[in-house]
Amino acid sequence: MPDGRTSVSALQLAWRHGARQRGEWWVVLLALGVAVAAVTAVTQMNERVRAAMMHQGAQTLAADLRLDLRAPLGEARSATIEKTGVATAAVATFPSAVTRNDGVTLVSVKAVEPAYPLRGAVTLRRGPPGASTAEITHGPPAGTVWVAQRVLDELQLDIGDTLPLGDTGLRIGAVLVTEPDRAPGFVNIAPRVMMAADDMAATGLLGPGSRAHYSELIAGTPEQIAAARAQLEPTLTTGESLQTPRESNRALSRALDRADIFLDLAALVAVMLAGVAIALAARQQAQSRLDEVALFKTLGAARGLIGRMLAWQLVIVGILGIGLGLLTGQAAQAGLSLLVARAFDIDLPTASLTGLWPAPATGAVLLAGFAWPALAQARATPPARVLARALDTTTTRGRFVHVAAIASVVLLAAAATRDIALTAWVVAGTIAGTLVLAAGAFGLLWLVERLRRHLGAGAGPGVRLGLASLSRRRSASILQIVAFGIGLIMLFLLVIVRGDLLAGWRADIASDAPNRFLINITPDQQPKVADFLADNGIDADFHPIVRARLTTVNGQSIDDDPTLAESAGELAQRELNLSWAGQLKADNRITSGQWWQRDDRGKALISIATSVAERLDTGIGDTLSFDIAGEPITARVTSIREIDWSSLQANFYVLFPPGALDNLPATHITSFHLPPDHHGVLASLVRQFSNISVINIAAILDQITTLIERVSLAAELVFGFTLAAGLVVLLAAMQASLAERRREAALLRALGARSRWLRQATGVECLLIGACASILAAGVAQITAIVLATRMLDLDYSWRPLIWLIAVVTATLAIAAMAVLSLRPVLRQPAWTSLRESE
Amino acid sequence: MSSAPALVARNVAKTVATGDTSLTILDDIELSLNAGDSLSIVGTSGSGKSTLLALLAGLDLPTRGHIELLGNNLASLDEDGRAAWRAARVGFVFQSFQLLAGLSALDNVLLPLELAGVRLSEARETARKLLAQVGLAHRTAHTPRQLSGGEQQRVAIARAFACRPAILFADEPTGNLDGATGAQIIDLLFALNAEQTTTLVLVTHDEALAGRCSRVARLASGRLHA
Repeated sequence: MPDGRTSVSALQLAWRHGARQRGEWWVVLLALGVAVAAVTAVTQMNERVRAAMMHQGAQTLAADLRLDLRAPLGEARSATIEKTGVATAAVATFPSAVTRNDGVTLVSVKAVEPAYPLRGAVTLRRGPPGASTAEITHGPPAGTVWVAQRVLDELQLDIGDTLPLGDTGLRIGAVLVTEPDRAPGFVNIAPRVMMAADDMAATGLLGPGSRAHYSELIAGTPEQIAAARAQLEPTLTTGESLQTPRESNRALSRALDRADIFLDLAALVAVMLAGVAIALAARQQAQSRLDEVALFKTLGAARGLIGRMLAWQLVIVGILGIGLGLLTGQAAQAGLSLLVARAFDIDLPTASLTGLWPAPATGAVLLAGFAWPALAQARATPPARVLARALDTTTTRGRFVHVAAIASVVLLAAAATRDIALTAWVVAGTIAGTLVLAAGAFGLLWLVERLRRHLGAGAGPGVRLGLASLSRRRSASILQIVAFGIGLIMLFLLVIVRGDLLAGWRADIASDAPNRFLINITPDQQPKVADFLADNGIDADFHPIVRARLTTVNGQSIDDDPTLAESAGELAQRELNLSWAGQLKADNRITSGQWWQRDDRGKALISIATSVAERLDTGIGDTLSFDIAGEPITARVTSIREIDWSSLQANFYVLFPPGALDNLPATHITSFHLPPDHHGVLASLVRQFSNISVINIAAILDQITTLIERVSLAAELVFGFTLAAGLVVLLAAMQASLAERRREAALLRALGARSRWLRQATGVECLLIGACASILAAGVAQITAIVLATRMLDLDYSWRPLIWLIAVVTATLAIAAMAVLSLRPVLRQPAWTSLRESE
Repeated sequence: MSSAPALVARNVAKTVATGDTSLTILDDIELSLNAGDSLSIVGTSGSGKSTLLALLAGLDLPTRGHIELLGNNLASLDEDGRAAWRAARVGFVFQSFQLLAGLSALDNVLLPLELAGVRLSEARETARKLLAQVGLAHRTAHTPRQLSGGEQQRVAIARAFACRPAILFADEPTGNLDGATGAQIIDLLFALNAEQTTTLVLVTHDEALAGRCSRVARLASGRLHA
């Protein structure tokens, strides 16, 4: 360099120049900060709420992981998993009979180690029915049993008495009211007797042929569970399996899946809003840099130096914005978590710092995808611009900018939701919505132009000015309508659609869902039981059950094929409940093949559940053979059904057509909703039909309902934060036109426009912009809601015109009011001051 | 020409606060201008010419003193009142043109006509005629970005005369233009002024330009010397 001067670095230029221009960067900074804060809060809340939900869900397993075994866990494997730091508790469950005085009662014995349950609690009652209960987080002490009330009733025993069990007797310490991992499966129909594992040997009940089911419960941190699972999976043998709470409880699994969708939606919405806000701010920023770039080039700066300077400025703004967003987001999610924890009296696990990475990554991608393309194009500004702007054809828009923006949104959305289908639907919907908004904007401008030509002096100067401004600023008006519209679509989805979907989700677990099952109803008892229930105002459907064992698949014996036996799993290990039905139930949907035709009656045909088809790798035309009380029967698959287990109604893996199993021993089952004030009905029924067993699944329902309520609150709080981000987008859209609007107002003021006219003009212009944007946004949001509800969430969705009307009016008035209020600085000061400020 | 004063300023002063101190830009300004006359206010850069013009036009209020414009005491009106009073009575030509970037030449000229409540078709006709008068009949659809400095100032002049104002204030109308273009602009300005018999107040540092007005006042150290 001549004169001994050294060249300035791009970073130095960026810092010095950026510091002088810091007032111009605040819009980008704010938009970036809000975006990163929203993503931080949403992803952190997602992580913590999901972990809390899994923790809650773990109660249904009494553990985080359950290892199902055919024999007690050996010492070698026990030592292996203990090294991972997890807590364990062995459980053995087996049927037994208790004899007292001349009575025999079939019971289900559960022997547990002292650490049971590892998650959740058992509920005990130490007094007569109606006495208070207590929640206990350990197993019964040695020498003591906890029994179901039915055991006391049938054996005429009381708390404190000795229960004869095998070769020993154990003191009845309390009535077992609930246990966290008791599923309404038909294996556990007998009343429960819970005992200490240490007492098993003394009973002498376990030996060859005891039909005991063993499991090892495991609990720990997610990392410990993952490590234990990794240690165990390679060691699993035939008949052994690992179960998580989601895998073992279908209804809970579905509830958690829906919760994931809701929370992922919040993350996706936050990302989309971030994109809109950054795009608006970046466009304005890039446009304002053109003169500066031209001047730099005139002074000798090379294009490369200018590019690096702009890039460094973006990096500096990015670091500040991301830092601000992380701090704000962390504070917000800490506050939200406190609210959730206090509202539901639960502990939310601490979010991991590693879980923070999506937020800064989002900020970086947003800057790279939305801000940089526009700034990069500014590098091409010719130096001749300083002399004559007409010589400059540089544009900060263009195809490259749009393509980069869309690609960034798709990338961020896919990363945030981890659900390609959801991403595709929402992104496609947003693109379609944007096009609809743009088309609507063009339509509005066409109407306004027509209106202007027919307006006379009676319309008032303010109205005429407003219409004129809307018509003249075509590009700006279209951009504003699209920007407002996108922001409003998101807000409408969050505020209105979210509420509707959550209400639908709650209603899906209807208040009249079945909460009682009756089993072991003999064929001759079925009509009498039906009449009994009907007399008591209970509506119930009855289904026949034939117990059978699955023996072959397409002629291949399961016993002779270890691979087939392993994949069949519990389908081959225990008896199945076969049934028959003429009509397809509402919670069943044919996915392959077809339901019975009239002439299928009595034929050896079967309709199987999708889970059976997947497990046995069978399809239409394949055959399954069963052993029914020693009689073999082979049937051909003619349809496959998807079952909605969340209906909590009686459903069957395998269904025959009517008449196919007529001559085989069968019982009936029914499920119904028992209102809270009808408890005495069942006691009366059991007295009349002593062989019928009643299964109470109300506790399961309560768990699911509570889970849904908690998820709803968490989702609402998360959506509230994303809602705030949506409002910032609207402010950014307003800000984009603010400078021009104020400059115009200052000039009009100088030319003689009164404040009232300027307010009217701005009000009319923004009322029309707001109305166009909100009406179109409401339409797009409604269509998106229907698609989400019917295709993604499997919910019914109904229109609510009144709420949309209120939303449209509110949004329109809010936009107009914000615009009019933004003029206050101009209207408060002398016209000359405003003119000088606008130069 | 009428002898009634179109513009009167008595003991006008303007002081602005700058941090802990105050800066007196104008002090003890006395001025009177009859309708139809033309006055040039001459001074060096930073002498307060533009500030004085803003006060005389009612775009700002003096710290002290009394200004009457076309018989109206401006201090008795609030900002809205002054704006209403300016509409269709006062025209402006600014040094930086002050055109709206998003509007075409035609739309910029239409602005004062619309504010005055003129029918759109009539306003457009008037605007087209004025643009033709200033030599821009073929550039009506162009935005300021597409016009040269001289062309932008022509548009500004057309806008200033659109409502046939009683008085026109021009702040350094040729300040951003070259000599030849500036001369053309000034010829145009004075031609339209003569045609519409508008009272003219012109602020400039150009002595030659100042000499084309019927009166010249010099502003120095915040004081006016007639």
